[in-house]
Amino acid sequence: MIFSRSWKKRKLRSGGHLSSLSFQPGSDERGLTPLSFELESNLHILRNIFADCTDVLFHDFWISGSRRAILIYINGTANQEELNQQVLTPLLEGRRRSAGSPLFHGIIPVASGSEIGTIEETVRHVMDGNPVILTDGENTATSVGLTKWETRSVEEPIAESVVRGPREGFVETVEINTSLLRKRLRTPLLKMKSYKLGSISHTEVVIAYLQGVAEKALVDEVEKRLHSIRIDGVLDSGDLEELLQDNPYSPFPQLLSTERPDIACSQLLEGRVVILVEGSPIAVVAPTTFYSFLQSPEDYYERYFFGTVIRWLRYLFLFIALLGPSFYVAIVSFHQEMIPTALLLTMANSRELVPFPALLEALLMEITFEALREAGVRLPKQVGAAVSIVGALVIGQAAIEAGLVSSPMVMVVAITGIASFIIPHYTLGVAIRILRFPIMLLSGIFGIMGLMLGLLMLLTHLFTLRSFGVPYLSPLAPLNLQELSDVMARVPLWMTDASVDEHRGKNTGRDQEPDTT
Amino acid sequence: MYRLLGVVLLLLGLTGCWDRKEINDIAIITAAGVDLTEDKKVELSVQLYVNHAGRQQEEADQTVVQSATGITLADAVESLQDTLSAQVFWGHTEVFIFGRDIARTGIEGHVDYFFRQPGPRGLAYLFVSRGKAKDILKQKPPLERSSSKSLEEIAKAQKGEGVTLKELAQMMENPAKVSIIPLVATLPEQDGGPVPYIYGMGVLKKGKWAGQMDEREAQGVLWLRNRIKFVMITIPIEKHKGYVSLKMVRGRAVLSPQVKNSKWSMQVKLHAEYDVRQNTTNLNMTIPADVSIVESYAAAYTRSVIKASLNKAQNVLHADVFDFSGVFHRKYPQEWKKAVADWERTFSEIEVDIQSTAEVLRPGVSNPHQ
Repeated sequence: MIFSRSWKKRKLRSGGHLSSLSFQPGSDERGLTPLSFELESNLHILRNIFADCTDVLFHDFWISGSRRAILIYINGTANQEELNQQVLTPLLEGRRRSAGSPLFHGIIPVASGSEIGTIEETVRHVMDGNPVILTDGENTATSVGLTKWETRSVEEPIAESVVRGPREGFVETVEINTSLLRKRLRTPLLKMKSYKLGSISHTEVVIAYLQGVAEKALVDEVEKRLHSIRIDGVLDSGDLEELLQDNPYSPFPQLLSTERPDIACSQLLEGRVVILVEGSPIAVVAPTTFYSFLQSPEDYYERYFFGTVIRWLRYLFLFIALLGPSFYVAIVSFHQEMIPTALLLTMANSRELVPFPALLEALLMEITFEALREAGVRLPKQVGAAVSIVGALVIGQAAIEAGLVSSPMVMVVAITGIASFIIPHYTLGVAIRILRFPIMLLSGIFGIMGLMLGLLMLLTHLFTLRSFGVPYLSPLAPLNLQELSDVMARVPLWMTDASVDEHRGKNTGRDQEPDTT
Repeated sequence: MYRLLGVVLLLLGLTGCWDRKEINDIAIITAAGVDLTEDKKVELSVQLYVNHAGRQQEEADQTVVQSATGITLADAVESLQDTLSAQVFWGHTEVFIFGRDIARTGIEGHVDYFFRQPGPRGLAYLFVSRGKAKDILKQKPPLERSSSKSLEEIAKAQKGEGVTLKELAQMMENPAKVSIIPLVATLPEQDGGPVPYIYGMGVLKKGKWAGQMDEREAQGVLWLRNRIKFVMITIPIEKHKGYVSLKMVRGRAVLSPQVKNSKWSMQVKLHAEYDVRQNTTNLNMTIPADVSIVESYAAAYTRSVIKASLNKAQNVLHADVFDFSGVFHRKYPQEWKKAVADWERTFSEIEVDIQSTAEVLRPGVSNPHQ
């Protein structure tokens, strides 16, 4: 199976031992504790479990004034207004009913709800935010689907903004995110499978794929990897990405992460699997290739000439972001004969008073720049602008005037900085930023030879890298000329061939609906 | 695996940066001149680029000339290095000038220093100076940074006279052992001081100075070597009381060698295309008949240039400046092999048949004489 070829199950140091909360004696053959007919004994167990959880409320009331019942819910997650109107009011004022669940007798007018029979399930439902009603004299409880977690409204994605294209971004609620996908792909073929991950956090994880477009083996592999994860808590899709990727030591991101539903949908159409995590506005896509990180959705929304030229520009600046300072250091300290004479004379002039060797100068500037950028990210927005002005303009200018760095170096660092911002996906940008430093050191020691050495090592690594078994550099290596055309240029949509993607199960083009049968 | 990686990383550090040289640590030589001293030693003069960052004088010179002497060129470089705080750097030397005195004793041994090491550029231009090379280096032409830059631009831009280090190496390897190098002269009385310019061509036999060809004769050499470029010729036409100036657009020479009964001959077909730049005659350039009169004069002019050049080469210098040796070698390898030992004599006896044609492409639009 190509999808599982390169992945090894990894043991996690944390988690595992926390996987089950054990409760009380009297558990059944599955290890679960059934609810008892006596409300008091159920209540005793539950109060013990929820001891010191002040946000879990136990509301005592009498159904129709005759029968004791308890409503358990988390303060703030249940829709209290509706709870009063739709649940408590009918129960308190309703006609006397014979034994049995209130829900099933049609008293409570809510869209979703379920019958539960064990303590564990009760706990699970309460923790999911559903109010649960326990009634005296019954060994089942009723969970009412009146959850209302705090959600953020759908906003414009911050890290992946476009000029032309949808303004919607994923939010922290997985239900909203799945609805954003469904809104764009209205077909029953869009499958969403839900899992709970994290022995403590019990985070909902949804994998979405297009049946018949995504290969079944790929979906199976994603599920297999998800199942093998033992972890205490999943707080962001980043946690998951780290556990799902093929090579854990690589600096390169092996899953595409995006906060844009339109990107996620285009990936679905290409037969990939999208993984959504509750609490994370970032979806991850598997498998992915290196070039996906260099593409922006806008390439496709704008005219294709523009998309093509922008792509070339990105490739060029990818190299500048990676090698800019290294090349400068190598040339200035080893290969002066490579510089055109007039330029060399200008550079000699500007370097005359600089006290450091070029390598040190470059490292100094690059580290400062990285610090400046990091500071800018963490700072509040209002202060951020001030930092960049003071940092970039004032310090840069002062450093040149003080003769600590040469002005060509400042230019190189500035261009490199801009170049690393041109990469549309932040995760690859980070990898490139970090890899710049070892290559810089190599060029400082060996000149162009060191630079090539670093580049070769990097390429060798990239060639061995796989994302869910798919070669990272495909379609360049292994070579697939037809697919490569979409890497080299943004091919107009009317020119694209129907079946070009290796990861697709069937020959389905973007412009035709797969069979619904 | 990680231990191995660690060891490799440590080894990287051990090498240090032994090859590293910062820009501040190199003395950039923009031009070099080689002269002969009175006691037969080699005097090397280099034009060095000077940094002015942090210094006050704005109008200071950008280059200085420093000299050192030695038994050989390498020895001279060594003693020059002793007087410099920075490493001598040949990578940006674009002009090499040999004084005529040292050319007389032969330059072969000296250029060996430049050929042997990877530093000097193969595309640097080479000149022979009429006086001392050092004096040329010291000149400050007002338009350029230095005299070397000025010479380089002239050699690069104009009539195809420039000879590079690489071409010199090829010419010296040639069995005829004749090299041509542009000759630098000084135009003394100019507003901004003396300026160097190219005047004709120095001819070297086996690396030794054999004589020089003036500008007209040098043009003939360029013609027959098929290197002629945008020259301007001004032809007197007495019959029509004036001159016509023509700018050459294209010029092509086809050489057909022939060996018959051990008689060596060469047929040369020349064809040139011109634009008319000035016309002081009473010819009307809008009449085709008049244009063909100019064309026939132009053809005759080219013919006379070639004749003058051939005369100098065959009868005075006895040097195969046209590389006829190569042309014969390609067509008659057997005969050439026998003749090459005494090529100087064979060359001098080659009969050259010149057929010259000319064509005016753009006679121009104005016609003031009607």
